[in-house]
Amino acid sequence: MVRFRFRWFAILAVAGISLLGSRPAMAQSPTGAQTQLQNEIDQLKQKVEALEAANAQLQHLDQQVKIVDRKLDQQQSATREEALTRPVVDVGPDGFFIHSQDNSYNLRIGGYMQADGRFYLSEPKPTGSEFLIRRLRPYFEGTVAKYYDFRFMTDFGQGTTTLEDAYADIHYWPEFRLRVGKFREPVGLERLEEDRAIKFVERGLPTDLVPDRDLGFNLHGDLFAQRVEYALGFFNGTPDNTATDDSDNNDGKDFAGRIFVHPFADTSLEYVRQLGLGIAGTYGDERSTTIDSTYKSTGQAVFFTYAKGVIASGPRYRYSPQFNYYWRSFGLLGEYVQNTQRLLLPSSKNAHPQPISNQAWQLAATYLVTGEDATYGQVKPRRNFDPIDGGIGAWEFAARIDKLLIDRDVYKYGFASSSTSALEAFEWSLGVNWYLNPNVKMQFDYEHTGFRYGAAKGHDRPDESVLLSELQLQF
Amino acid sequence: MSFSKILFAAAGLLTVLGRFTPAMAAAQTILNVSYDPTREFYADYDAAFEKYWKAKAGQDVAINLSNGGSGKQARAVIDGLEADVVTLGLAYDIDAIADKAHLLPADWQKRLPQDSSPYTSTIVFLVRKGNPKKIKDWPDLVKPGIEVVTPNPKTSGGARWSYLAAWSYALKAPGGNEAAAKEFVSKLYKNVPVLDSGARGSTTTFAERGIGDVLLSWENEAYLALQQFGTGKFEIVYPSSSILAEPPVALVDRNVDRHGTRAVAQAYLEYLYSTDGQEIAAKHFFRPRLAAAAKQGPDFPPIKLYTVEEIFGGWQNAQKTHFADGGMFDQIYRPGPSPSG
Repeated sequence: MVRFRFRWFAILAVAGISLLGSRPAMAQSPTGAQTQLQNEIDQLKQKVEALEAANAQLQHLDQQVKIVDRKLDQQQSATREEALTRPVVDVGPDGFFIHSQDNSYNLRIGGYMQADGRFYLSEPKPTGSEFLIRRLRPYFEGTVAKYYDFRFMTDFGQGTTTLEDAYADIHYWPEFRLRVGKFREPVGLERLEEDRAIKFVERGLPTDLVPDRDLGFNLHGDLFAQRVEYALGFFNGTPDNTATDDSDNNDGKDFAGRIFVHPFADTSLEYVRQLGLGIAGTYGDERSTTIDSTYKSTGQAVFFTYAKGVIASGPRYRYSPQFNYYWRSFGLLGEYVQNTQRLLLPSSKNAHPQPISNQAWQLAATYLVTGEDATYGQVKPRRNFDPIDGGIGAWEFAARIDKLLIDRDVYKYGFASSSTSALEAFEWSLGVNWYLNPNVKMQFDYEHTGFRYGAAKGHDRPDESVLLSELQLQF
Repeated sequence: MSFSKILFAAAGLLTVLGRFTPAMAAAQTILNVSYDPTREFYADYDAAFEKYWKAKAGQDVAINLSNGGSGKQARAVIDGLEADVVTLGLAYDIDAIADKAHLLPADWQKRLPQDSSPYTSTIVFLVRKGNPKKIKDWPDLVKPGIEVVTPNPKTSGGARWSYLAAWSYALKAPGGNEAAAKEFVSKLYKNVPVLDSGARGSTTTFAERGIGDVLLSWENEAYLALQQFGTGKFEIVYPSSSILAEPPVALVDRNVDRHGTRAVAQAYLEYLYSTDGQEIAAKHFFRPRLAAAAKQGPDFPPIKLYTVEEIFGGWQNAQKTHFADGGMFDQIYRPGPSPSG
């Protein structure tokens, strides 16, 4: 329609202009005038045809633009749809992530290194002072099919290669999760704290009496809006402060269970909100397994060893009431562990299984002088250390007292020697933690441990004083 | 009284209460995954069904509708979109769901009348008002300078029907054979400047964006365009022949059993065959199976309609020959600059 009107307008306009310009020609003879008029009409037609062609070309160009525009729309729509399914790659303080848009599938690659220094100040030195790579642990963890988590972690520290974690965790409901594989038994409070998050270079003495990682499964979860955590597991059974060597040499298995509650999580009273109370324990029947547990000071020197040939010979149970408390920058952690095991020394006269009951406790306090909130997990500084920007990171002071008491009957039944194995260790520590940023931490501890027995002729093993340092880097 | 006796008594009481209080049954939601041009139809149909089901079963039902190119929708269901029912553009797409995802049995088409196709449609031409390019029949679409808008047969059910309609015309034309049909359809697709993923996208391209001279459209979609954009902008041209399109519907058994929605989903499909359902279909410019309902819709002009069975030997053959990877369409269509350029 537009083209139709344009055509006639063009004709009339050109005709009008031509007629105005041709007045003097009308004075010519009739034949000449007709020829001139015919010429003018022909010229008009040519001009109109040219205008029509130009218009058609314009319309064609208009169509082309619209087609390109539409294709662009389609491309953008396809890109948006594709973006919904494209995996997301993320790198930051918490490691390297790749995950699907809906996070049903994700993979995190991380790791941490702890480079330690141990300097014994006391004489005689229980062992040589040293630098060491305490832990070097790369790990993969992630999720498949939305409800199945996994974690694989190895350790290359101290010249060994160990499989630390290898488990799958099925979690359709946060209240009921099933973990299967190799992972920490749910017992010791400080043992369950991540290696990267502990507030001292080495864990306290109660950790000597609780199991480390073991093979098995447990049902665990959070109840009542995370006010209650629980875990119930079934494991191969592992000696004190030991991780399984990924096999079991007997039929005896351990049950492990733990419940930990935050009874005041919803209260308006801020200072009690982060009080946690719990109890954990294990029960198993281990027989004929050689007891090769050793107990170490917090400076990692062995102060107690069972005699050669001592074997497990009956039920073993542990129980551990525990608590932690956090209020603003202040944190407190406490636990008690009792470990009772029937032991036997077959080579001794009139050998009978005897119950040996060892105990330990600790109380540790921390305070973040830079104002961050104290936590059971990892501390993240408010301002990273940056000498150019003036950030100082987070600074934390820590203090601990702890004690380990071995059952005196170990001497009576020949399960240990008083001249090489102490019955008691009492330790106190002072520490400073410097969190430079979420990924780098430095720790400096002074630890002093006193002993009863454990030296020749019934004397006390010499006190141990040690300076421990650690640089931890994680990603 | 022992605990077990109390438990059994409680279970029995709950069962009895459940039987005699159907009105207390919880509301249900079903998902209808449909092909592109059914939005308006199912908006009206779903409202009618919800009333019907409430009156019949005393239960509230909410129906969620998903629309898209038929092939694309089928793939979404195969990939996990939990449709309770599928109402797609062609039987092959539902066969693919049965074959690849085993969500319904292979003989699904026999479970409802007329091969599970409650209404039919066909493919027509939608042109600009006044038909400036004088498009009357299929041969006009392959002339130089004509731009044809049609969706992508790889994703759209309507596009596959259009392709088969064009092929059928060329095959049945005097002197027609497979080679001539291939040449004809090749020329036609050379005149296609842009392929949308579904019928609704193509309608947008043609009607809203002003691209192209003719839209190969579902018949119902063409009438909807007239209704939506006004009869002053477009006209419908019926070619001499076209294809009988039979969009099917099916229950997705594994999903309804998992959701507990079998009864309501089955009723939802059966209601399509009722007088109400057929009249709604007719009002939305489909060709109802129930002849009496047809008067609710327009008087469709007569047109020779070929079936997929008679020309192509069924959808399995048609899909394999023309639309599978490396098939005839892939050989014919090469995306490139606009045919008028």
